[in-house]
Amino acid sequence: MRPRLQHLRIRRLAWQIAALLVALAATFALLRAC
Amino acid sequence: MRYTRTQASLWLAAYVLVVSTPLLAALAGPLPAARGFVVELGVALGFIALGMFWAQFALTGRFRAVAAAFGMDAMLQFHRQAGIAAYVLVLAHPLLLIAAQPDFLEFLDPRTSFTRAAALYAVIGAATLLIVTTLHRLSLGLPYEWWRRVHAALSAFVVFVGLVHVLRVAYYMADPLRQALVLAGTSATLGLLAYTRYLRPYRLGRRPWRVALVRALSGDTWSVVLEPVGHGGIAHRAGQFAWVSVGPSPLQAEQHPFTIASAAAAGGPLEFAVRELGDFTSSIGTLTIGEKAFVDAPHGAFVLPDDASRPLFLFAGGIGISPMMSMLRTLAQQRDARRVTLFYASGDAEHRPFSDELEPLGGQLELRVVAIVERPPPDWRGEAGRLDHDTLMRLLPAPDPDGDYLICGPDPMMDAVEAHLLECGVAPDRIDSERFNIA
Repeated sequence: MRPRLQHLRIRRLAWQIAALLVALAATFALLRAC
Repeated sequence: MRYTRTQASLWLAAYVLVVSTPLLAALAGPLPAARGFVVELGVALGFIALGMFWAQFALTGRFRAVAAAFGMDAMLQFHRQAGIAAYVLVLAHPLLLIAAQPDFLEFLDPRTSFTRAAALYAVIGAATLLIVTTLHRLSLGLPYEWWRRVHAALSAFVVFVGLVHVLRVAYYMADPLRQALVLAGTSATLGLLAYTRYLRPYRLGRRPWRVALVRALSGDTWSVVLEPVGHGGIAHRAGQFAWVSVGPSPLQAEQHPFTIASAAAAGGPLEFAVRELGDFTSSIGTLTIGEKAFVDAPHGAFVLPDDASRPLFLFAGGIGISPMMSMLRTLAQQRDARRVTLFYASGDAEHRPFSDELEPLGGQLELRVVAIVERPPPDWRGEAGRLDHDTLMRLLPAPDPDGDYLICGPDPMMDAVEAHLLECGVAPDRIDSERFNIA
């Protein structure tokens, strides 16, 4: 694995994508509930 | 080969697409009656979690095209974080549903359906075990190969139960087309697992290698040369690594990631430098000539930069010298004229694999070697200390912004070198690094 900076960058990227996916799920729920 | 922004963005877009497939499938076609926001969110998170679990199999399948864009180590790190995120979503799915509508507790009630309740408890347990055994593998004392098998079995179980759950609930996935899509997605991921764990080893088994030479390099480090038997071997670049297994069959033998120390080549024998670290590596000296071996290679994106007009700076700590040796030997073979500076740090003067080869290489290359030893003997003429901030300030106060910087060694060393280079204004894309122990 890469040094700290690279690690933090990948970790951040993974959680940013997870947040994007949760936002997608929330949009789905909004579309369905409205 | 470092990734380009376009390549990386395309792969990330593909990842998001794969993960959102079950959710998009739910929206495609006739829709069932709408429920409240929280219920729909809970359901949507369940679909996302299933998609994330699918993608997990592709992330660790050692697929060269993907790994070349990011580096295998980065992929594993991403897999790890995505796994934790998927687990959070798996838990959020029932919690949100039950919070919004307590009737959903019925799913977990064995009196309503014993099989369903048992399967759902089992899948939550399996997902929890997946996370705990991975994050605490070392403190739990789980051997790597044992963990790898359990990890594959547990994740296959989670995905399988996820599929059955979606098909049985059949609220969104009620029509055959959408059911077929979810079935296809799950089958594809389980297929990937079968490919990685069985088909690839089987194919490796048809291209065997043999141990051709084992010699002690220095102290606890051994050089192992493997040669192809009945085939031409593999083409690799300087700095790449291989998954090596020794034994009669690649299906049974444990695989270990070893960096190739020999020069880049289109085929032929491969040399690996192996340090005695754990269970398997400790027995490396007992390998016998002629023993059968299997090589899954080449892997890794930590390679010799192509541009010969830029000066090259290599930072090696201990066994991290292996990829650097491959690079130096390659440069010597190619009569490359670029300026190379090698910072070679080690604990003591005896444990410096390949140090005897660096001098003759210096005659063929524009090579300057800076040897740094933490516990130097009285007659030591190189640098004393560690490759840390202070040493770097002294030895490399103004790094050339036009250079390429490659780092391989223990974490504290890599962190120190990276921080120093960035502080001195070297662009991040000129710095490449790899931790040796990716397991």
